[in-house]
Amino acid sequence: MSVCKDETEFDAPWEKVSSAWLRRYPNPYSSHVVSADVLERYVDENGRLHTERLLVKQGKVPRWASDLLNVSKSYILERSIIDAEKRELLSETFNIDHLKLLKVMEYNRYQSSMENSSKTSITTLAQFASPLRLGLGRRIQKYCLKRFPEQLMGSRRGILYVLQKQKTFS
Amino acid sequence: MSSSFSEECTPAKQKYDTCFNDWYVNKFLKGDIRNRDCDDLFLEYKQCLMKAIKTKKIEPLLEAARKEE
Repeated sequence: MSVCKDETEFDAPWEKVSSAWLRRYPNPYSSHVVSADVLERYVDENGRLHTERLLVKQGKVPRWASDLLNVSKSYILERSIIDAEKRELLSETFNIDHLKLLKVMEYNRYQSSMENSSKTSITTLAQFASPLRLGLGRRIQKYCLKRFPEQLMGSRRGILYVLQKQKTFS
Repeated sequence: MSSSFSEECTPAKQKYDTCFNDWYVNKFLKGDIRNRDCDDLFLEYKQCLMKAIKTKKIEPLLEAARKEE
């Protein structure tokens, strides 16, 4: 099992970031995400919003696998819990096909910054597991160092793009 | 606004998404968490989606993913 980790901060309040996160598709930085469907959504007894979405990635996709394996389409399940009181969004994303090759779990936490409530801190963790012995360990390590930060940058630019659009309209 | 994986569900999805986006900003984030304005639109969208998940054979993938937990 290999893990990549990354932390960053957005210069926008959590409310705006979480709203942009929910509507981040489509955006020019994620053209490989062709659809996003809500399978489940409810508010639990503690007032937290649970959402389960099915994403379909195509073309140069899935972004984690394009470097590692030759796969052109993938179904991704994304689950999120949003706690407006704590100003926290937790998400987990994983592929539900091609599991004989590789499973990638990505976890994100978007939290209102402790020091400055007009900022949002973001922690991302990606975990890779494969039943195959393809010497993936070393390739994934390389991926963590170089491509993972690049691709994260892409997905974050996508959220920032949607944030910017929100600002223009509101 | 994003499309549905099943083209025929896209209109119902976009109606629901419009309602939800407004609900999220103006109700949920403001503490009005019990408001259920978008439930009917979600039901309509979900009925379309469930049919498509069956016909496009995505159901086994979802079931396997849920069973694993």
